[in-house]
Amino acid sequence: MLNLDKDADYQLPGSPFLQVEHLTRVITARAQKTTLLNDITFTVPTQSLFTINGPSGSGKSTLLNMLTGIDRPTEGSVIFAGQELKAQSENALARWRGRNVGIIFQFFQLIPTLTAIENVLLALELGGGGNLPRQAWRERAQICLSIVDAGSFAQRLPAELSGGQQQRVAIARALANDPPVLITDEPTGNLDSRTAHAIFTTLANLTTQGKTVIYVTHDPQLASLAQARIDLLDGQIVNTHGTKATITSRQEEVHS
Amino acid sequence: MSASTRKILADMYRRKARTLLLISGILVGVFGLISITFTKDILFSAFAYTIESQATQPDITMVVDRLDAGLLPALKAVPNVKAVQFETRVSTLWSIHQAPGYTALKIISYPDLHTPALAPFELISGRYPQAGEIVLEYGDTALAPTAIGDMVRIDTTHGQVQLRVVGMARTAGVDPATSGKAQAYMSADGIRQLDVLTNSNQPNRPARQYMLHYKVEHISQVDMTARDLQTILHSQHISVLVTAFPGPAIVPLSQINGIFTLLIALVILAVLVSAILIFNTVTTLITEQTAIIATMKTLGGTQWQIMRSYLLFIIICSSLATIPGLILGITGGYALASILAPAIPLALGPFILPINLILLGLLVGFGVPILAAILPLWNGTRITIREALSTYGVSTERDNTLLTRFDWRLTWISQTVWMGLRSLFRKRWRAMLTIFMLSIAGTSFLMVQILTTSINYTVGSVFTNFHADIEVDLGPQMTFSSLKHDLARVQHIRVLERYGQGGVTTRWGHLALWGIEPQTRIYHYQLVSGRWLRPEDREVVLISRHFSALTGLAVGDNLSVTNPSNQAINWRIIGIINENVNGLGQMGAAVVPVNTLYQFQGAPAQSVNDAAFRVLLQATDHSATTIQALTQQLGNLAMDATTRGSVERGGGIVNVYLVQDEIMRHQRSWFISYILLYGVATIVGGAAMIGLANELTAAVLERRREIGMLRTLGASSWRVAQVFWVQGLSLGLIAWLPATLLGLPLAYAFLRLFSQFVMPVDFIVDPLAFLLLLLSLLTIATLASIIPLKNAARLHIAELLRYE
Repeated sequence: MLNLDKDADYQLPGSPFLQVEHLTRVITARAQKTTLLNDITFTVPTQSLFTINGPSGSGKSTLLNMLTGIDRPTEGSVIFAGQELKAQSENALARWRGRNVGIIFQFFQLIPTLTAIENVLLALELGGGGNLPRQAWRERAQICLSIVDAGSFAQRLPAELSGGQQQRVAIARALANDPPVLITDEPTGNLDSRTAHAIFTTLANLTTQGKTVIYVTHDPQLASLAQARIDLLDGQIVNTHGTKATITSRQEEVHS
Repeated sequence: MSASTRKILADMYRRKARTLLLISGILVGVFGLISITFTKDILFSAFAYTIESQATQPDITMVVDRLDAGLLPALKAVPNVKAVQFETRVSTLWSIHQAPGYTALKIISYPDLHTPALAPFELISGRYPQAGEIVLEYGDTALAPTAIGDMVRIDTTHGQVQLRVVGMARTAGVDPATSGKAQAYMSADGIRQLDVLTNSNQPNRPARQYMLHYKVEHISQVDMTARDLQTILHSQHISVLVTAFPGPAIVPLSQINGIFTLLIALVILAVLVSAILIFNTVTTLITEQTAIIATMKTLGGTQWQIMRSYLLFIIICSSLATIPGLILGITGGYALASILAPAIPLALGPFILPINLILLGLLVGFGVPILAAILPLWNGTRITIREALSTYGVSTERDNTLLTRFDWRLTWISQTVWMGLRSLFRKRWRAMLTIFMLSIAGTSFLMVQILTTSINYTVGSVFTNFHADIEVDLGPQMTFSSLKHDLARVQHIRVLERYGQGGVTTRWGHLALWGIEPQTRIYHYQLVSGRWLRPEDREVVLISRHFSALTGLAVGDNLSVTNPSNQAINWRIIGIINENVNGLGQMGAAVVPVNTLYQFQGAPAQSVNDAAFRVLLQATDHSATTIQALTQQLGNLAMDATTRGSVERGGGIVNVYLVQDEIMRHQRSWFISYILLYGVATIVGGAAMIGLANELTAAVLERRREIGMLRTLGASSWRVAQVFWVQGLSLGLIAWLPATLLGLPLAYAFLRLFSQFVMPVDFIVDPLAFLLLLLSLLTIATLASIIPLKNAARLHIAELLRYE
């Protein structure tokens, strides 16, 4: 079981960083059961760009929530850096996420009242500061912004930035505590194609700096650029590339 | 500064209106609590000062035919005598503009006016008088508006003289505004120069009186000391005309305490309303920032870390509100006490910073907001990331089936009005709390309204049992037969009847005392039990129902009282009547035969049947013209006699009052209490208004998308504003019902407390109060809507649709 108070160990490139085994998520609403994910199994190699591809409603975001501990599976397990991710308290999970996972959203989710650098500093403040002393945080935040070519607008508010610039700041924020893995949910879904490719490239480059990037997208073209991927449809894996994954059979919604 | 602190500061600045409302809410609560508590503390410390000043109030007062300064050492040497004070007093008439054109004026002078040993007064403005000048008691200005520098005209034996007002004074226990009797001070030379009669052979009639005041060491030996003093005076051929034992001045401490306890109870409601306001604000803030909270959690923020940052917001608001609230509360409280003190009357001590109140203010200003914020913060920050990112915090279900049904039928009502109505319970808990908050404000208003109506009715009803139009004060030696003779020429008198008025202290408290003719035609008694007075009755009393309920005294029991000469007297209770009182500190009323009262007040037994201290007149008709004409005739009679000098003190008529004026004067004496009560109700209403404004501001913020959609559909500013105005009005309207249901029993309980601790009053509910309550709530709702409506109306479509 994963010790949530301990940082994940880094692993050799290519070895499985994250393993998902027989993951199933069923929700019940008004006496109706809906299977969002059905018996999903795959592995994500260390320091790879891994995409989860599929159309709207295929279960991408649900799967992402399972990987980040935001949601809990009905069945199956998520093994993160060799240790099973089983939920403790919300607070313990939050602390774990702060140190081990950088999450990037489609709609950026920047704090509108804070400048770009302050958004990054907030992540450092909440996520433990990446084992750095407090006086080094500002420098660290500036470095993170520079990594994603956002250093020049550090003092601007999100409202003063374009969509692409906001997403760069969001990536910088995700890098703040130097997590081993970045999980992105449609990070380019809200951007034009040119900016989307630029962001994708930025994320892809991060794998060379030791990061594992899990990239959720509905864009097959972008997905095909990744080193490994799975394709989801109606909560099941229908196609795989460069990863050990089990293609499950299609299952209709279960009604009770 | 940390990023989370910077975020909170930015949030505060970004939602300026909401921050301001929250600060105002806390400020109003702190201000109300501190100002009222400080006023109470100041008045009580002033009371303590007055108690100490009892050391300078005389225990024995003698009226003598002359003063001899050479006697002072001998009088001081009498065993048990602590201090001796000489006084010259002139009783005259002061010409004023109000009917009947004059009022009784008592002018006092001491040989050492600046530092009298006994019965001191405090010069509050101006300077001490020289000859030809006068210092008025501050309360005199209520009888005739007068300022320093003005001239006052007073009667002398041979016409009127003018005196210049050079100062205003304040004397403990003297209240011209209520008593209707003016008081003033002059220098020894000045008073000597006044051409007024001094008749030492007719003790109670001279215009000029010489008095001796004494303070004793041991009050238990006061009778013996008085006899020793009389002996010395007699040996020096000084006649002692009257000896009186004034006793301590009564300051109605428990009654003042009662009023303030009730006020503080109301202020606590204001603090409660502030707490609800904070609760609602934090709930709104958290709802609005759900996505941000989720983001912070994905960044690794724990619940406590997030809560801490929002608590900082509350602490900053508390600081911004509590400090000015404390400053305003302390200065406002002192100002209020300064206004109230002369009316009670009390002399205020020096200003001392109230450390205990500052601590209380800090405790309330910080403690209440933090306590009120904890629950919504805990609840709001507990939300999981998944819930937070997937929720808009709004139920999409249309479960308001009743409204929906109406919606189908009442098609003539605009859809924007329906939008306002349907959004009432969009946030159920917040709406319920807002209604609760408005209900509290409404309840406070109703309680205050019922209490003031009841007091006003009770005070007014004191004279309604007397079917009289005019009251005449007479010199104590005036006989009823000579008065009847004097008034034989006066027209428009239907009934002329003797009566008396006074007070008596019992072991249960102060009792208003009325002396009535047993076969009265003017006093219409309302007997509850027992019987009315008979002509042969002596030493009997009828007590009021309130006093009977308070004391448990019943018909057949004895009521023990002490007369002004320190003698114990027992009166047998023969009946219980419905009779109210009109003054602070009176715990009930009692009626005795007029002769019994006169004897009690010092009239000799052998002449009491023809004595007349006061009379009541009923005019032939109750029209204002007739009463005015009658008053004028009585006034002329008094003035003519005085000017002629043939009859001392105008044939014995000292003062003429219209009964209606008397009622109004007593009702006016309660106005300060009414102002206080309505002031506190306004504070509660203000807090509720801020709360509703906050709720509507939150609604505008949450519904920016809807506003945007309305705008794109062509809605004018007014139509957009209508949605929120309807929401505010509806909340006010709904609050009216619980305010009424809650207000009535609470007002009754409030009144019972008031009757027990302050003054017995009847429970009077004016149906108009409910309409006024509704209007007040709708006014609060409309006023509270102004800022949110303006905000809603001036939003731009582009801005709205970009939101989120």
